[in-house]
Amino acid sequence: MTDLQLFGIITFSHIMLIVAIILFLTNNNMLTKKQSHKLVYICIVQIVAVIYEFVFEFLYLQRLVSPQAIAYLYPATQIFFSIQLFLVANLMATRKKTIYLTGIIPALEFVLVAISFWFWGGATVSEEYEVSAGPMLYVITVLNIAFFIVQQIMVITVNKKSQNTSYYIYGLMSLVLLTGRVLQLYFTEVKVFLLSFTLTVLLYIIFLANRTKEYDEITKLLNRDAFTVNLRHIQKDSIIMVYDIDFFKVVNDDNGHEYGDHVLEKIGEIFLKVYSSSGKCYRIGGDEFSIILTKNKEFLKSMVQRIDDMVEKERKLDPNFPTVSYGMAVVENDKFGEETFYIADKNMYEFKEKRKAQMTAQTQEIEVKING
Amino acid sequence: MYKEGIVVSILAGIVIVLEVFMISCIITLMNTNSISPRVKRGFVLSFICLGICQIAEFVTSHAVHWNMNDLSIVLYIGKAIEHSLAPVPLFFIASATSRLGKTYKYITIPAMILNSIVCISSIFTRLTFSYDENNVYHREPMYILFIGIIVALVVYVIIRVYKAAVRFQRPNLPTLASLLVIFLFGFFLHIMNPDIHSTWIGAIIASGLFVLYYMDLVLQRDHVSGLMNRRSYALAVEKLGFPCAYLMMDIDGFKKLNDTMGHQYGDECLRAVGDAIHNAFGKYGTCYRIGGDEFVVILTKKLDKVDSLIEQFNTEIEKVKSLFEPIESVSVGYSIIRNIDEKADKLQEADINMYKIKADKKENITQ
Repeated sequence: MTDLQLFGIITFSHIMLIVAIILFLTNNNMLTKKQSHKLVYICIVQIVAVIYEFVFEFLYLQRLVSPQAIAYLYPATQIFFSIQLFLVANLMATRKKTIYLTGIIPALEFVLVAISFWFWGGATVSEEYEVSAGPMLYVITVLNIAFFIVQQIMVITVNKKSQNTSYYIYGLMSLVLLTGRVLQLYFTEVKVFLLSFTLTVLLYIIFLANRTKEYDEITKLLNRDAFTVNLRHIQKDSIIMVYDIDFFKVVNDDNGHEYGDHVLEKIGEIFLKVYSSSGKCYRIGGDEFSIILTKNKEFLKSMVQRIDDMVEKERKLDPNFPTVSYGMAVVENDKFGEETFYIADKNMYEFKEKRKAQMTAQTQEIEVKING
Repeated sequence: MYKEGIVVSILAGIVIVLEVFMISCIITLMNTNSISPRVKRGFVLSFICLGICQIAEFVTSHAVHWNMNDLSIVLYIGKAIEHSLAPVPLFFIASATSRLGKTYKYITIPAMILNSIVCISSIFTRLTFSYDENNVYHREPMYILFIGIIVALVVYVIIRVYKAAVRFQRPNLPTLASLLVIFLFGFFLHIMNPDIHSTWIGAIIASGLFVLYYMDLVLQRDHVSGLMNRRSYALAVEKLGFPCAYLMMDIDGFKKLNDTMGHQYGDECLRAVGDAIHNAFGKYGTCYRIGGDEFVVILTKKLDKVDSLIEQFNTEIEKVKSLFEPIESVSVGYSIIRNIDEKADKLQEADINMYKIKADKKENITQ
């Protein structure tokens, strides 16, 4: 069996792998439509890139074109890489601004590749068809690495806000990608970068699966599943807080589900602003939230006060906005997660009853005054 | 890397990338909360075995290029490790997919031990494989035993996975088929031509895909009732195909049962109702639990016989009622959606129909 036949088999299997990923993306039940579509685009570009690489290898191994042409064709693969990197940035970015920001480096790469056709090349090819990477390829690789760093910073800032617990997968993804990149750079004939990219996409989908499992779409907090798991592994001396929206059912019935969702979203935002740096916030039921505080416990009082202030501020803007009740308890032993949660829950209900009693007392007072 | 042939070095590169990928997969799996500990253990162990096999394979097929003195010892040891570990990942994948029965364990574990004994002893006896003086690999008579055990395990895993997939309602079979094709392609290519070391490459990629596939299955399931959960319901409504029947169900008296008998008992009841729903409608559509005691069925077949299906379901529910006393009945309302324009209206109509039926029942009781 010749080298070319074997390379054909490798290409064929690679395309099969990408097709399998596309089949998964079009049939899965966990990704949103938008995510699936973006990933399918990436896969399609990937197939084109793989086929291009095979055609190049075919021309090269059969010596069908001149060394000069090979020198032109070789760096053209980079064009696919830059398109891919841009698509990846597009996939990960949550805001338009970040898309433009991360798009700069792939665009720069694109320009460099285009220039390398005329000026100091991406590759030099000797009369014996020996390819060696040119200086431009090294520049592009440096840019690739710069792109990773920008991406990592972006990812970490985004994830700190949204309490993503599995963003270490991003690091692993870059590791796989860089391995392929470096190998192909040092040994030009070892064409593994595209494969490493496909595997990275696979890892990314696994990451998304992890994310959907523990994420609440409406409030952008962690969900009940994540809460139960973390309650099991709770540390001693952390504080469990339970928040509940007062009369949420009434708010929902009076103003409609959409308004109810808006309230939940706002409250999730408030919790993230105050607590995300000192603990994790969860939505554990329809209108019930919980926070597990592990850091900054000495500021507890001021944090609770800040929540109250922010809710008050919201209520001034929007009179329908509900109040919240809370209860808390300290974990005395790392096996007492669930018990502590129940204590906190009970405290919350006591607080709520008191508040309700206060409210009814006040309204009664006013009623008495009005009715004389 | 090596000047001999381009493809040899490409294969070496692929192996390195795959090893990194696999380590990433192992780290990811160890840290994930998405799957149960048993499944996690199965996947991680199978990945570790695959990694070791891949490294052993890599060493034996590339050591020729390394200018070593005691080449044959390395080759024999590497091959023995690879051959004796080869069936183990399949066993772990099977154990991750579903709980293994005792008979199965009593058959497979001795078979695997026998295989590894024969393979390791081949270093001296040359039963399964041998290397000649030019360090070229040859298959010996007992190689059939080795391949036989692997093929039997592969067939078993396929059956096992297929059964597990069908138990979930929307099994996404195209992905399963394609990952199987990738694995078998690598496997048979290697058997046909011993020079192409593709088995482990195919196996690692297929197991990476399988992890993904399994996570997808688990994520759409509601663990209390055994039906699909709210998330997959939301996606299904988004991608609704026409025409279809939309059935809305609600357990009457569930709150009372939950309050008086406790959550555990309530969960058992939900499980029973879920089974009843699946028995009645599972063949013709997909069943979801979308809230505490609310269920939805989206039927794509037998649209003209919805009423008789509901009747059949009511007889199933009678059985459940006898087990769980406080339940009164399950109210079912439905509408048939013919095209996308009437989707929103008809979804609501089913809801209203259900509440009408519920109200009628209550009236009857009070009368």
